[in-house]
Amino acid sequence: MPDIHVLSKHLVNKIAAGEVVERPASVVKELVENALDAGASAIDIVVEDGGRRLISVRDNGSGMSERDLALAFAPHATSKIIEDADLFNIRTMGFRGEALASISAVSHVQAVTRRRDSAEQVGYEIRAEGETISPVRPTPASTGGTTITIRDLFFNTPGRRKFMRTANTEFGHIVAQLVRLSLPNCNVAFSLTHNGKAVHSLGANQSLRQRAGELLGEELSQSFLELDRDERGVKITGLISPPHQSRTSTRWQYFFVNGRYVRDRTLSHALREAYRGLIEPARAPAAILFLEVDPSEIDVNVHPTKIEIRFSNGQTIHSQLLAVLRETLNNADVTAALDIDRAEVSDSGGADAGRREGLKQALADFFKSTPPTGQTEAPVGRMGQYAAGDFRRTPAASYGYAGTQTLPQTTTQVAEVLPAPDRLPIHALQVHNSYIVTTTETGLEIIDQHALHERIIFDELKTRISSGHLASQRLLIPETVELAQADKTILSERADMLERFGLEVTDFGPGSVAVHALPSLLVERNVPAAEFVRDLLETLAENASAGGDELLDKILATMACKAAIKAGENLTPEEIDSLLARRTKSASCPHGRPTTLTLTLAELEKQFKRT
Amino acid sequence: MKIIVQTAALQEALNLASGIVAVRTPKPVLQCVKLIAANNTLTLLATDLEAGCRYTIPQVEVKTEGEALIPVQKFADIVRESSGEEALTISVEGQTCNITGAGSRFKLLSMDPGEFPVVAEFDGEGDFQVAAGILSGLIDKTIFAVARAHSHYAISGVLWETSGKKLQLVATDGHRLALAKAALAKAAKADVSAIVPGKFMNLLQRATGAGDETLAVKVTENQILVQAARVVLICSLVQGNFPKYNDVIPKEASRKATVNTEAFLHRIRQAALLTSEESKGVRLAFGAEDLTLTGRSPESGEAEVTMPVKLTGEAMEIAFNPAFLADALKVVGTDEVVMELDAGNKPALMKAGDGTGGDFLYVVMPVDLG
Repeated sequence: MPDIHVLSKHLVNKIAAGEVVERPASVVKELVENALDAGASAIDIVVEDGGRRLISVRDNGSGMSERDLALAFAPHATSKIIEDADLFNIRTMGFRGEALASISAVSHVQAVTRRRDSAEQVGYEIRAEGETISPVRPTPASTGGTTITIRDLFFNTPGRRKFMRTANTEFGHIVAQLVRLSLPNCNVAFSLTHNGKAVHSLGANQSLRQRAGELLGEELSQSFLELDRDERGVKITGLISPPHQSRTSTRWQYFFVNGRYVRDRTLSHALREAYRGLIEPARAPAAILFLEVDPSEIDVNVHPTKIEIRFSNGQTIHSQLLAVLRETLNNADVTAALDIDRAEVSDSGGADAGRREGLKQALADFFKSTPPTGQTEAPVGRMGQYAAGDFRRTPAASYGYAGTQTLPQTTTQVAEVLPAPDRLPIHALQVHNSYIVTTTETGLEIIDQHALHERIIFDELKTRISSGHLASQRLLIPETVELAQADKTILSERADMLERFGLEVTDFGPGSVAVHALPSLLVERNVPAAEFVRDLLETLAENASAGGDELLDKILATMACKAAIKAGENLTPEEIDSLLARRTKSASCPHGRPTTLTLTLAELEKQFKRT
Repeated sequence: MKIIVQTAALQEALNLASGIVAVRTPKPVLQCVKLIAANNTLTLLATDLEAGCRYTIPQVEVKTEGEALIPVQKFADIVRESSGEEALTISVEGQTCNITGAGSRFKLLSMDPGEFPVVAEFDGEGDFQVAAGILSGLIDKTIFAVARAHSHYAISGVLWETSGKKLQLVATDGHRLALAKAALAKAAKADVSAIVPGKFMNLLQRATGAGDETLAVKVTENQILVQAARVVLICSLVQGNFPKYNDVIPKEASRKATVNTEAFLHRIRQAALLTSEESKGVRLAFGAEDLTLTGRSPESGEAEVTMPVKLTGEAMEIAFNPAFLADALKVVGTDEVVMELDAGNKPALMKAGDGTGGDFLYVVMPVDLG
C-alpha cells in the first residue's frame, strides 16, 4: 500500500464537487439558491444541450463587490454564516460556501456581477476553470445583479461526464429543480430557456395556485384544496389534491421546510396516512406543503445538497401535519368529476345559460318519467308513497317461485327523493342493479351503490367502536371454522381486539375454532361466520406490522365490505332513499375507490356538441 | 296428440307449472312443460330439476293420445289471452303444436318429449296424511327461521319429522330456532325425517292452500312427494345432518315472563324505530310488573317504551334483534306468549301461551349491545 499523503487542493475540490455537483441540475440548484439568497426578484436560467454545454443563471440581486467576487470561488467562503451558532439558525438557502468552488473545479465558469446599489455602469468579471482562477477585472454592466455562466461541465472529470444522460433527461432534471425552487418563491419571476427556446416564464408575485397551475397543470391546480394552520410552533400552508386527483407516484409531492425542498419520511408518512382509505393503496396524492418552523428546531446540515433534514420535534410536526391534512380533507366536498374530457369547459353564462336551463329541465323530465311497468299508471308519489305494483322487488332472499304471471320486467327503478322546496327535485334511478344515478343542481351524479354503502357502514362502525364495542349476535349453534394452527394462534393473540368487534371465537379441537358470537351487522346482512373469519385472518396477516389504529381501520373496512350492498343487488326505492340520505362527504370507499362521479350539465352539453 | 281442454282448468295448471320452471337455464327443455294426453286426462309436467309438479286435468276430451313438449311461458301467455274462450284445441303434428280457439290459431314449436327429465310419480298411499290447513299453519310458524345464506347447508331447509300421530317442523338459521307441531288424524305409516327446502314449502302453500283437503306425503331417500287432489308436488330433499335441535332448547329457566302478544309486538316495533343499521338491538328490562324496551341509535336518538308483564323470578335485562322477536310474535297465533329466560347471554325460549305451549317453541339468542 502506498504511503499516506495529503491530497492536493484541486483534488479536494473535485471530491467536494462530486458531493455537490452531481449533474447539470445540481448546478442550477446551487446557482439559483445563491440568486435567491442575494434577494433577486427575477431569475433567468439559460441552458444548452441539457446543461451539458451551457448553464447560465442571471439574477437582479444584490450583486457582489470586487473583493467578494475574488473570494467567492475560494472553498468555504460564504457571506451567509459567520460563527458556530449561525449553523443552527440558518435562514438562507446556502451556507456551506462550497458551491462556486465545487462548480469551478469541474467546469469553465464566468461570473459577472455589479452591486445593485452601485451608481456606475461598471461591474466585475472573473473566470475560473479547473484549478486556475483568473484575476478579477472590471467590465461594463448595465444592471445590478450577478450572472454566472458555466460551460463544459465535467470537462476534466471524464467519469462524471460519462454518467450524464441524454440532453432530454438532464433537462428534465433541471425542470424538476426549477419546480422545487420556484414553488416556494412565488414572488420571484423565473424564466427557463433551453437551446434558445423559452420553456417556462413564471411571472413575479403569483399566487401559489397560479404558479402550481403553470408548473403542474391547470386541472390539478384548480382542484387543489388549500390548507393553512399555525399551531404549536409549526406553520403549515400549501395545496393538496382531492382524493380523486391522485397520481401513480409520489413524484407530485413537494415538501418545503422553511422554503427549502426536502425529502422526509416523517412528512411523507403523514401525507400517506391522511389519505389512507380515501385513495387506492397504489396511488399517491399530489401535494405542495410548506412548513415553517423555528430554524433552531431543524438540522439542515445532514446532507451536502441539503435535501434531507432532521427535526428535533418530529412527533409534533407529524401530528400537526396529519391533523391539518385530515381536517382539510374532511371539510372538502371531494366528489370525483366524471372525466369525460380533460379539456376545459366554459362555465360562463350569457346565451349559454338559457340552453343549460333547458337541458336541466330535460334531465329533470327524464328522471320524472315512470318506466313502463305494464300496469295502469299509478301516480308517482312523494317520498315513501309508491304504488306497490310499480316497484315490485324480487330479492334473492325471499322464498317462493316467481309469481304466476310474470310482469314485463324493467331493469330500472325510479325513486323520488325528498324534494327540497324551491329546488330542482332530485330523482334517483338504479341502473344495472349496481349504480344509482341522481340529478343535482349542476348536473348528475353516478353512485356506486356498493362503494357508497361500504363507506357509510365504515363511518358508522368507526363512530361506534370509538365509544365501546360493536353489537354482537350470539349464535344458537356455534359455527365451526376449520383453520390452520398458525391462524388459530393469530386469532387467540388478537382475542381482545376481536371482542371489540363482537366476534367471540374459542378453540374447538385441532384445526378448528368455534364462533359463538358474530357482529350483529354481519348477521343482519347474512354474512356467513366462516367467510368473515377467513377474511379477517387475511386482513390480519396482510397488516401484521400495522399499528393499532391502522389495523382497526383495516378490519372495519373488511367488515364494511362484507356487509355492504353488493353490485347486482336490486334496491327498493326506499333503500335507495335511505342510502342517499345517509351519504357522507367522503367520496371514496374505505379501500379508496370513488363512490360518486359527477357529470355537469356543461360537460353534457359539450359531449352533445351543443356548445 | 289431439285434445280439447277447458281453458280455465288449463290456465290454473299453467299458473302453478310456470312458477316451477327454471327462469334462467342453459337447458331449453327445462323452460318447457310436458303434456301427456292419456286415459282421458291431460297431465302437465314441469320441473327445474330440484322441484317439480305433475298436474292432472280431467276437464279434457282426448281425441288422440300422445305427448308434447312446449315452452311454458309462451304457452301460458296464449292460454291467458284466450281466457274468453270456453275451450281450446291442442294438436301436435311432428314438431308443430297448434293451439286453436274460436277465431284464433297459434303455432308453437314442439320439442322432443323424450328429452324431458323424469318427474317422479306418487305410488301408493304415502307415509302419512295431513290436512292442508294444518300443514300450512306449521309452515307459517317455521319458515321465517330458515337460513337464507348460510355455509351450513342442512339448515337451508325445514326439518319434517313424524312420530306416531305427531308431525313436527323445525327451522333454524343459527341464531334462532322455531319448532311447531300438530297432531295427525291417523298415525304415520312410517316415521319420517326429512329436510325440505324452504322455497318448496312456499310452493306447497300456494298449490294446496289452507283448506281441509287431505294431503298424502311420501318421503323417499332423496325426494319428498306431496299429493293433493289435482297435483303431485315433488322436491329434492336437502342432504346433510340437521343440527341436534333438542340440545339447544333450554330445559330450565330461572324466570318466566308472560306478555300480551299484540302489545309486545307493537312495543318492539316502536323501540326498533331507533336502532342503527350497525346494531339492530333492542334492550328488554324485565321488572316485576313492567317490561321496558329501549332502542338506541347513535345517529338518531333513543326510544323507551313500557308495557305490563307478569314475571316470576328476579328482574333482568337482555337484548335481542327486534326482528327476531317480531317474526315469531307475528305467527304464534295465541293472545299471550311466555318468555323463559335465564341470563343476558343465554338463549331465551318463547312459547305459545294459553295452555298450548308445547305446540310452538321459539329459541332466540340474545345480542350483546356492548
